[in-house]
Amino acid sequence: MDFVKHAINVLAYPYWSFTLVLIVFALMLRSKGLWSKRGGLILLAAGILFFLVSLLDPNFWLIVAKPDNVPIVMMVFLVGFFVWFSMYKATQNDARVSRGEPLFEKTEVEDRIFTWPDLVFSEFICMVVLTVVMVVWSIALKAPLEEPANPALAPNPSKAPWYFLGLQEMLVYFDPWLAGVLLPGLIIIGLMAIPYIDTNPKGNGYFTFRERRVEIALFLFGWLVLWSQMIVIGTFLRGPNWNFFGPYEFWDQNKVEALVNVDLSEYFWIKLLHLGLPGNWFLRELPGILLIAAYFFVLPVLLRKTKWFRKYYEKMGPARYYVGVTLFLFMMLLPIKMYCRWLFNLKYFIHVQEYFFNI
Amino acid sequence: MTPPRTPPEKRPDRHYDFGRMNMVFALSSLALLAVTLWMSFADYAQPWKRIQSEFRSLERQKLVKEAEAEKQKLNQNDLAQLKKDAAQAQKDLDQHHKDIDKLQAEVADWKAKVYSTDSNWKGAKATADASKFQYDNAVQSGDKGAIAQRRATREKTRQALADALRQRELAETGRDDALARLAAKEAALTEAEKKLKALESGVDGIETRIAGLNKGVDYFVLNAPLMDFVKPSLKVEQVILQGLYQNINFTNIDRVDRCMTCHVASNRPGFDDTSWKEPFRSHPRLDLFVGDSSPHPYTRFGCTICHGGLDRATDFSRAGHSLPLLASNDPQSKKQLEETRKEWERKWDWKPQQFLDYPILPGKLAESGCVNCHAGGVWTAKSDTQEVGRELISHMGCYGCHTINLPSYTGLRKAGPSLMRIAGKTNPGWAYKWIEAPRNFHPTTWMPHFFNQENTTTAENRKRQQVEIVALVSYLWAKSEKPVYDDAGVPAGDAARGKAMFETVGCGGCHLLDGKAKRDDYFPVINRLHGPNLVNTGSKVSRGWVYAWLKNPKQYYPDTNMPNLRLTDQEAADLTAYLTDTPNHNPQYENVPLPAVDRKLRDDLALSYLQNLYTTDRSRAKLAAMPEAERNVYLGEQTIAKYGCYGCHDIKGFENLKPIGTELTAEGSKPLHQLDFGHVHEVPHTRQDWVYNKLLRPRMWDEGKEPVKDYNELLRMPNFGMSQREAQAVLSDVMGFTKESAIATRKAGTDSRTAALAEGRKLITRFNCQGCHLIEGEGHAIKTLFEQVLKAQGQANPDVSGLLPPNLAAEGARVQSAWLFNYLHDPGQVRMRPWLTARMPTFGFTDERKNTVVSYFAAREAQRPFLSEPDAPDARSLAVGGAVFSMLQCARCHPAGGEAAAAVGGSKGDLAPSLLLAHERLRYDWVPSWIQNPQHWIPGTRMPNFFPETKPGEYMSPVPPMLANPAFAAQKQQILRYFSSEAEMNAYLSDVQNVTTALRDHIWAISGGGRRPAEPATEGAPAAATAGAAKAAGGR
Repeated sequence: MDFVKHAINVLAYPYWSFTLVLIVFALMLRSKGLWSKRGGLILLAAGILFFLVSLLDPNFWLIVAKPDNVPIVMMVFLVGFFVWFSMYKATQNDARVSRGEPLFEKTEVEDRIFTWPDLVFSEFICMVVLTVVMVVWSIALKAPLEEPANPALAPNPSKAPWYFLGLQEMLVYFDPWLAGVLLPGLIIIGLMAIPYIDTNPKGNGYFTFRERRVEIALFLFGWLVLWSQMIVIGTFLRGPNWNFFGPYEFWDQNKVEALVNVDLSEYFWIKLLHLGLPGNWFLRELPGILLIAAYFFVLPVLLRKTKWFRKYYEKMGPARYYVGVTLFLFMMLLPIKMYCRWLFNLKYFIHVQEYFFNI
Repeated sequence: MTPPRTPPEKRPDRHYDFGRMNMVFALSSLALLAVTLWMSFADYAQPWKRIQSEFRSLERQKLVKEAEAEKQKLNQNDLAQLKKDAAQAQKDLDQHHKDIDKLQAEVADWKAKVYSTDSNWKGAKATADASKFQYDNAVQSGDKGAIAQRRATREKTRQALADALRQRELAETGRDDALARLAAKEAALTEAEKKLKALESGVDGIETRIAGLNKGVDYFVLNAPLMDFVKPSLKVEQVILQGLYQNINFTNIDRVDRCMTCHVASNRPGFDDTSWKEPFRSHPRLDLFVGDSSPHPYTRFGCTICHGGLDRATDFSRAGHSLPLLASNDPQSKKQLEETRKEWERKWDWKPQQFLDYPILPGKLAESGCVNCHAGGVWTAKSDTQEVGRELISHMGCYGCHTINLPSYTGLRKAGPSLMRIAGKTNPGWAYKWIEAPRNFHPTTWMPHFFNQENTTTAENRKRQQVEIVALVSYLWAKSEKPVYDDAGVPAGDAARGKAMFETVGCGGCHLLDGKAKRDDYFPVINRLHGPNLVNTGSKVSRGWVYAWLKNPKQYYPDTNMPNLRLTDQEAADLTAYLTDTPNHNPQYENVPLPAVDRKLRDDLALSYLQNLYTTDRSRAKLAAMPEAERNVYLGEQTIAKYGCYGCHDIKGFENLKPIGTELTAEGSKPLHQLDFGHVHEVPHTRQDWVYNKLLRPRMWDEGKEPVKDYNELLRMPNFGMSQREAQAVLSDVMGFTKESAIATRKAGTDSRTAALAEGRKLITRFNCQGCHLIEGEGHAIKTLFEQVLKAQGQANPDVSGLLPPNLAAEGARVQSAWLFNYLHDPGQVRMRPWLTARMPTFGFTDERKNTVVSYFAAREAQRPFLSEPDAPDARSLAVGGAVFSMLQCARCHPAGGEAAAAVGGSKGDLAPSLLLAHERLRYDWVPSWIQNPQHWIPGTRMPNFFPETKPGEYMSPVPPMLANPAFAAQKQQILRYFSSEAEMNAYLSDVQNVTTALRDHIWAISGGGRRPAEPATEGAPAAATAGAAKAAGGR
């Protein structure tokens, strides 16, 4: 058992877990069996089993059973359910279409019911049941009050509200102006821009996966892998000093990890060219600047030429294409930076401390 | 909505199966009802309600028992007799009652009349006022006809008003008269009935209280859920404490203590025998704390300002109840902790409150609360442990390494002796063995163990410590002055005489000479541990040094606490012999060579210090350039800096260094996460447990870390060998070093008087006045020595109270400031109490210090320093004083001359100071008050009380009845001359004030003070009185 726990602890470290999640994510999208009722039940059973067995571990219990974290546990299951549900519906519809039958939503639309009593009555029952659940919850779990807030003494770990923990996790890899301002702003702008970039009418008003594979995969990558996963990591696996802790690991205040991060400029000038760092910051950071410039300005053009992206370029036209690809590249900047950090201890691509400009 | 006619499940237009839907709805509704009830119950069933209800029942049981006892007390026979009398008187009573009824009717009648005449008067007044206004109006308009008419009306109404007033006054007089007659009737109830009532009132009172505690229907209705907002008998008891705040980081909020919600009886007496368990017990010492008439009433001070805990909480855990302290070196305390934990978990569902900054301090630690408000006065004499803690800290010198920015610990001398001239006092071999383990030589020493502690156990670390001690000694001897004390100059002494001196002259107030003593044995009166235990002195210092030291300690160390006892050469030689002769030696400490050190380790250590300043290569070069001896001295200097030896000792080269320890000024508020518990998990993670275990085992947080830490990184706090009692006392002071928790006006004494007291108390602690004297109720430590000596002489139960140096309780009110100042300057000039063997030593105080002491005593009694010369007393007063002086035989104990003591007879314990000094020593206005009631000024004094206190504050004079006795005929005759009649004389002498004043005037006269009266010069009353006194003294 200890071995299993240890293995899970090790695998939970971001570099392993992130890679694993990527693989599982890819497999999930390709899987057929998973998006059936049976697959869903197995997934649910596995999730519950893992959770219950893990609760036997005191360290796991300590974190998961904190009254503040209970909603996040529920959120994990809810996210799972809704992803499964939409994919299940989509798979069903895809199967119907391939069999030449009408869409599920179509059959549903024709089957009308009255507002009263069917809808209102069932809503009313939901309301009562929810009230019961909320009351029980409020009696059983006391409000998790802590000591009086002290502006001079931040708690360790200092955590954002759970819905911002994804952002806080990004701060591990980027400066605040990027992780706290630019990237979140782009997320909102990007979400708002989707209807204008993606003008494909398929999938409007009905579930489908086959007709919109790439779009759904991209969205789910951002939503599940980059957002939800980071919230889970931030809630359950980030402990004192924002150190990483496996799910069965004790949150030791004094944990020390040997980490020395190195800038790209050092890699280039010192390790590669065996020269000292140039005194002029522009010259010093030139490799990084060139790299980032290439990433945002050359890569879209090059991608246009590939089989995959050419299709989109032709379908969407240059304006939509470039906006979409830039947003996509911004999204991909996060996993790229994460891997660079894990593999090469990379601190910054561009590190202009003279002007507090770091990427 | 109209009910569907067909069953809903059969309706084709319905999507759902409504039979099942209704079922689900019914079930969920029931569930909602159930959880709503649960919610109400959870909200209602607070644990404190159960506790209050339980207490109500218990208190009722107690009262029932009391009522029974009260009834038992009523003598049943008396009761029957009284009842018979009452029945007899019943007839009278009936008549009374009839009369009373009649009178009551009359009163009612009169009252009605008063009411009606009063309303008539009010009407007449309104009319009269209106007519006045109309007349004025008419004058204004100038219409003459109208003026006349209005004037007539005005006159008429004025007359009517006067009539109405008269009527009302008549009615009122009648009413008052009737009321007076009624009152007289009612007052005239029979004696029997009154007696009966009085006897039964005790029981009645209790029974009324019992009725109030019944749990009847009203109780349940008033406390029922939803009804309990009206006037519940179970309710949260809270008190808002303005100015005592809870610090919540950058802001303070007034405390709102709710502790009494459960600790129901804490401010009521009578719940303190063992049958009462918490939370139902009375607070201890209600005269001092919590009680309504105490200086700290509950309504003004609450509980949490001392006890800590969350003021607003009404739940056992949330309030922050903490487990008892755990002493990690004591399995018993661990067991106790576990038992309490289990009991609390079972009874109260207890959980540690990790987010509570100030949990309740267990046990006596609440005394740390004294420091919150009383730190300015230095002393809190009435605390049991906190004040001992302060003394321990002062003696152990904690403030030498840890800055403690409180009045008690600022401006103090270093706790240990100066090492500036150590080479003249002892030898390096002894010093080595001493530093290695001081308690091995002097078991009661305050000097702690720095070496061979639990975090320095490896063979290499042991050798490193050896290196360090040798280096220390080398440095001290290299830098010390080298005075020479020659044994040859010491006169021959007699050890036996020296022993007697030691035991009687007062050395024992500060010193022990006992190799088996333990510090803890003397807890909490630690005064006799003030100076070093003098066991084995012969192995430590030379005869020459001891002799010179005894003769004049300041020649060796000018700032020493050791006073000069004004010993003659022979006395000093005898004491020297006693202290240094053969039995008082420990051969293991003599002729010890310094051990050979491991040079490599020594050089490595020295190098590591050099590397803090220089590069590795330069350090090596510097070390290589040092000769062998200099390396030891260099390392010694670094080692002194490392261990902070200069925090307690004056050492050359370390005059202006900052102390090495953590500042403790706010230790009691230190956030828990700043305390490193290391790898120790058995100790509960609380502030108090951390400090407590740090005191008991200063190096324990290094457990398991010795192999991984660098040698100089290891914890350095030395081990004082504290017992649990000592550690708890220190802890209860340290936990009081908190951030501000009360506004200035809520703190005790921030005025100049308190400042004077504080400075004086610091001196009293430093010079250990309480080793011999009793001051503020503490001290007389030397008593144990006197008892020991007398016991050794064969007395089973020796009473030494007559041998003890004086109780200074009323010193400020008693003596004149100028006299005290001069006395402190040279106590040898006069022997106030020649029968005492102990000597008041000469401390050699500066004027500033003498003033501090004088101001202290004056401030204690709120006295002013200077007094004017008293007016000349009249002859009558002097005559009366002389007569009474002889009648009361004052001279029997107060010898007229210092050396007359022996002639007076009686035991030594009955002797009192000579009165010849009175006029220059005593305060003129104090003496009468002292004679009137000595116990008020000095509780336990042997001065007899001649004037019995009949009522509080009223005294009776015994003189008139005494004068009736033929034995005092002579005195009577003497006095009578000054009065016109015997009655006048007796009236004069019945006034205690007159008698005590006369005695004072007489004493002033015989001591040569005061101005003689100009007349009458008849027979010289004072002279006669003096003769009388002499006769009385001589005649016995």
